[in-house]
Amino acid sequence: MSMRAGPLSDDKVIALLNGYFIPVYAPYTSEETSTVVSTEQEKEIQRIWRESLEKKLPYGMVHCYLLEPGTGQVFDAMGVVKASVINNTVALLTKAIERYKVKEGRPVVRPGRQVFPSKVAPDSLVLHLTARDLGSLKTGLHVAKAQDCTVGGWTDFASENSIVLERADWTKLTPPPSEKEWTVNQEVASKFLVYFYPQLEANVVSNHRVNEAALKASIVSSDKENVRIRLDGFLKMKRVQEPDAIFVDAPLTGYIDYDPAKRRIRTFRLMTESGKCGSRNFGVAVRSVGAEELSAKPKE
Amino acid sequence: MVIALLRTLALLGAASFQEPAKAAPADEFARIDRWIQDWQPTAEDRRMEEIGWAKDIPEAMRLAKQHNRPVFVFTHKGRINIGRM
Repeated sequence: MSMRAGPLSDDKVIALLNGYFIPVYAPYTSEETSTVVSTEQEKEIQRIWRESLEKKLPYGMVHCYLLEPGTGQVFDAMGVVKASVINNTVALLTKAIERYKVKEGRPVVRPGRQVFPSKVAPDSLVLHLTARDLGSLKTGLHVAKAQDCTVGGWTDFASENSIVLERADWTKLTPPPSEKEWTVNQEVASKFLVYFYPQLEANVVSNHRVNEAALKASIVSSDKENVRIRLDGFLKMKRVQEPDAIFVDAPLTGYIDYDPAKRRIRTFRLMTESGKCGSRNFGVAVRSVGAEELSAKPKE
Repeated sequence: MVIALLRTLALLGAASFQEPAKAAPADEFARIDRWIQDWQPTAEDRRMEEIGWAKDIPEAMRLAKQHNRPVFVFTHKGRINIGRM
């Protein structure tokens, strides 16, 4: 059971965190997160880990910590294995509420989408990618497992990426002058194709290498208002640590609607229904995101 | 003659069974739209987004002081918010 599929998806835990706490998730600096963790954040994570150790509280890198309201000092902690059991997290939170006699209130921060960047240049093309695991291709005897051992893992929910293509990039997706068919620019295609893989523990996409000419484009219809471009291809992705091994195989299909008058991409769609990553099957859907969705106010 | 006709029809039928007609482009684009729509994260996938997360630990500590609430911090590997862990 993972924290996200377990306690962080549970009604009671969600209500306690929103009603009595200031919740924050904090990825520590690693190869995968080097661009998203600020120096201040990393300094605080290190301070929390050090304090827990000094106070002889449970300590670990993948861990839940509780900080005092006034000082921010650590006063309780629980390891992820224990905290993944919903009742244990409920007990941890309830004890803290009683200790500080916290009064129930509304969430201090409004809940909202956690996927899109907070600021995007207005002429950027934002793509949203959803990857889902479709299970293993392994053959052989099926061994039945208890339900609570097979649900709640991190492959049970979709993983998402937002990919921001700046104007200089997305214009390379549009038709070259007097061409009906072309190969999509390798550098630009790689910016979204590197995310075509299922949920894994290794997420260092800078190690992903996309095959040459993975994506072809052809104009299927054209008028003053719209040029429809069909996308087809086959992705063969490798990783630098295993240069001879195929990491991902995936047929690709999709389309682009391009407004030639306004010189902008209206719609971008790309998918694989039958990607393969080792013995696993997966699917990926990519769609362009409109300004309205990006600026949507979080729900109450 | 009847037998020959039946044989021809059977062969045509088998051929059409082996090679189904390709979807017209418009149908194919509609199918892509539908598939991508169906593939979007569900409310169940996104339950974590029902929690009002602070931007980072320094902001969480500032809000904790202001609202007299403890901070719940989950330190982890990877990126839990996008399901890439």
